[in-house]
Amino acid sequence: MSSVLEEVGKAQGAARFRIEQYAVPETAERSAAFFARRRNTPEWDAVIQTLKSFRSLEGDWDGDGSLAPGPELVDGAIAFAQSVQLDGMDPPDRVVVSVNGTIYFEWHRPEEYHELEVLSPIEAEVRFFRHDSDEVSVARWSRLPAA
Amino acid sequence: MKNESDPITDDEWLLRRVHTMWFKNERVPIISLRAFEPRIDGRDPDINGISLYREECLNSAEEILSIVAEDKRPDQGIVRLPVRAFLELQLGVQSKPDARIKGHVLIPGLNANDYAAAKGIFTSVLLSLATMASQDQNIVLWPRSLR
Repeated sequence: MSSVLEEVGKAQGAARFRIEQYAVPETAERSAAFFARRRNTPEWDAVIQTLKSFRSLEGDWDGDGSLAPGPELVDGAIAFAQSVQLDGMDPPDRVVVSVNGTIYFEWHRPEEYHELEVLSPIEAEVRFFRHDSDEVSVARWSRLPAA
Repeated sequence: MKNESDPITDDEWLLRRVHTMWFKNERVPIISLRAFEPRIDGRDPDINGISLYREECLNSAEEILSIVAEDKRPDQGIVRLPVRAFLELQLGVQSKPDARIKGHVLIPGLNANDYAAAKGIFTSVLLSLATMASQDQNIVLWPRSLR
């Protein structure tokens, strides 16, 4: 596993930006450390159902010309969801498609906010923000085949 | 009521269309961060910033739905945010008249190029806007499909 830290600086008065890049196996225990550690199967089932529903979206689904996620991206998002569920993470508070055709998982907590953006069928970016800090940590995840 | 040639003052409110994808009834915040994400690709990328409308230049908030195809309007809601919020976040507010709807403005600090270069930098800003937009008094119109 490789890890790279990079200070990108401050822009537009927004938070400082730190990148951590690493690859994790699909069922790595590591990712569980970022979130609460309990399983909630019915809520996870609902998340998977919502993700599946994104397969029916077409271009301009929002009336503003936004791209739809392709079926491969939706399948990738489902695989990420199953992977983090296996790690014992709480289900996200919502899963949504962005204006850029990517898929987001959002976790809102009283002290922090986490999001996972599925960028490709095998790549996601995770961002962590603590409400008492001006720093956002960013991690790039690459899904690897389970050993 | 103001003319759109009148200077934008920091006591004004701005309206933003929000697709039902980014509304959620039972969670806080109700509005997803994605409601303020600049569009990088697609039919109409937010090259110069995301679009909002000055409330005081309109007879009714629902006027801003008129540029959306009729069959997609039931999925559109409207939130409002103070000009002051965008200024405090150092995002700026710039008048950009649009013949279709009065009071059109752009938020230069939320533009496609800067966002594409480093999304993580914008996490805290988008979270601030989503949290503010989620307050009861700032949800001007729920999407018809959720009512």
